[in-house]
Amino acid sequence: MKLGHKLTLALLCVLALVLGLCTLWTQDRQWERALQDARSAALADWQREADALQQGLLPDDQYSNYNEELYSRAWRHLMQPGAPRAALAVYGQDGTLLASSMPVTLAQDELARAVPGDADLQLLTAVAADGTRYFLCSGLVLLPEECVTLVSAQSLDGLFADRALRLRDAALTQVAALAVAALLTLLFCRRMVRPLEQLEAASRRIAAGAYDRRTALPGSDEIAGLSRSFDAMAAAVQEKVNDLQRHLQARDAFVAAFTHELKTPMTSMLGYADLLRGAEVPAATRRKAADFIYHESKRLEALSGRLMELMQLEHETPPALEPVRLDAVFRQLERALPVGAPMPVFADCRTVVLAQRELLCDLLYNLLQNARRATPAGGTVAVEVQEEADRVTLTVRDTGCGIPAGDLPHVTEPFYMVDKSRARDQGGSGMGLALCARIAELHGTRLELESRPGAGTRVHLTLQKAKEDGHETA
Amino acid sequence: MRPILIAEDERPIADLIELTLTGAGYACEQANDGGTAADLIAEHDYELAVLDIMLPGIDGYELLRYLRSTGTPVIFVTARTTLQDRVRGLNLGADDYLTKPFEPLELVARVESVLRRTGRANVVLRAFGVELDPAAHTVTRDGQPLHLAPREFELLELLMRNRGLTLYREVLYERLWGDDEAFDTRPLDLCIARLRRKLGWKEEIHTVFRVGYRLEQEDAP
Repeated sequence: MKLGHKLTLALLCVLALVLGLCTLWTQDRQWERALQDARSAALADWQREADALQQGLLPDDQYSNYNEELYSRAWRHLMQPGAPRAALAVYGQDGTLLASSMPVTLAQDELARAVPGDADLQLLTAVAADGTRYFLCSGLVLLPEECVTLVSAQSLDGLFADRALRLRDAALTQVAALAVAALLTLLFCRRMVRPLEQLEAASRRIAAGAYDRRTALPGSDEIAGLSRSFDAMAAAVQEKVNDLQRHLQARDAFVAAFTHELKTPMTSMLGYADLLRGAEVPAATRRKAADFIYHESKRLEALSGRLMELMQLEHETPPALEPVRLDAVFRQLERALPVGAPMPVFADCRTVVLAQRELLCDLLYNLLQNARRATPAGGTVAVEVQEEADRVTLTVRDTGCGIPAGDLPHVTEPFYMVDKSRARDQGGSGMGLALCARIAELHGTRLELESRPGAGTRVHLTLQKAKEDGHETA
Repeated sequence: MRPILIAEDERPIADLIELTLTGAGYACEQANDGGTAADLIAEHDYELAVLDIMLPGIDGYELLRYLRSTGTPVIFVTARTTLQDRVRGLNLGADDYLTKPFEPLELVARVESVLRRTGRANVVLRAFGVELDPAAHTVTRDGQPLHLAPREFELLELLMRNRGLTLYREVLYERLWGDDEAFDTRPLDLCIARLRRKLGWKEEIHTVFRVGYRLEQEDAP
């Protein structure tokens, strides 16, 4: 069952209940009032009849027999033609019926309940044999010779018929009203539920892969709020999915580059090994083949080492940065760098920066080795320091061959080499700058490269200055 | 016969290809980047070109277009192995596509098959009056056709291609019978004996004791 239908049904039930109760209550009140009116009418009637009886039963002849006279006078009075009389009955003091114009359907014992009358008027309800209801009104009427009981009966037929009619009308009106209300409620509920249907459709679309789907329902009610948070959720999901996809693409590209990088040494190793093992080849060829195999294996070995380093850095959380004195780092680098020209020139600087010392050393080592490889023996390789208020920019500068503008954006990609054969001859793996970029990233900064082919390259790295200069790890 | 152009930026691989093809009797010229290769193509005429796709300067696809205009057949040698690369290379009109890593013998076979298919050259190996046509799979001795079993044919081809070199028996066995664990070279010896009988060779196939076999050079005793 749909929510709209459920709502409609529930609303209709409530409406029917309330309407029904209201109708019942008003009908009841009306009925009470009608009864009250009928009651007072009956009493007034009785009073009038009692007065008439008192007048009518006055003996006009002093000498007549009281009892007989009263009996016959009562009959005469009741049967008096002309003025239509209500149904009346007159009982004697001893409860004997003197005269009666009651309908025959009204049983005597029903009437007898009202006899003898009281000084006060009393009102009873009696049911005739044909089902008609009557108000019986009884009371004493004082006559000169004796006290008689006058009972008058008022038919309530008209009252009951009225009530039945009114009840029927009310029921009909209520049914009609409920029908109209049902229609309106259905339309209204449809309208209320439509945004929910839109939300549902949207979530189904998103589940099916349309991550750019949004609902954007207008308004300020809860459903609009739900729509807004739903859209926010969809946006978050889309971003996550895009992120994952980008990540996967990067990984795929990395694996492809890695496989390609593996295949080159593999090809020569396999080829030369095959050449060697198949036949007794001339000594010169053998030497050449063995040499290639050796160097290519070395290269693979270096590559795997570099790759391990990068993988480790890749999964590492940013390290805890500590104050590091730059001149200590420079001294460590001077000791670590292999001997050869050009030796780098370090700035004289005692600044303390926030860094992870080993990683910073590794980064500078890589940059310096790159710079040295690119620079002829007579050139310069230098590390310069530029201080600002709270930051320090390290620059590794060389006067080497430079990087062509087209290659510059790619040099930090793993396995990217500007000049493959030269890089390999010098033991490059294409991973050095990728490592440096990753280390910079772990320090919350990035490498900035500027280069002019033929003139040299500058690599800038900006680090945070340590807050308290007193504390040092030298 | 015109030389074969090798355009490959990886020195070790370029040397390997050259060594392999020179061993198979082809003259070669090397270019280590796209620009040099393009210059060489403009200046000289080549029997065939072996191209790497990812060359510095001008890439393999570009070179392929220059070469199409001269009608020189092209074999791509590349580490790119995705289907798209292969399809693109072949669509552009490369005659064959060899992925790294490859075995040198495979390269020679592809080169010969391309040369024969393009009608450039039909390589026939000759030794002591025996002629072997690797493409047609026929052997003749003094003009008379000879019937050889497939393994005998392969063995003879290996010997003729590596003439003057001693071939190790283990490797010979492995190449003919596959990388079998039950290593027993007696079938190889039997095969050599059958070959000697059918060709009427005795000393021409020299047994190097415990090492292998060698097909002597023409001028050897």
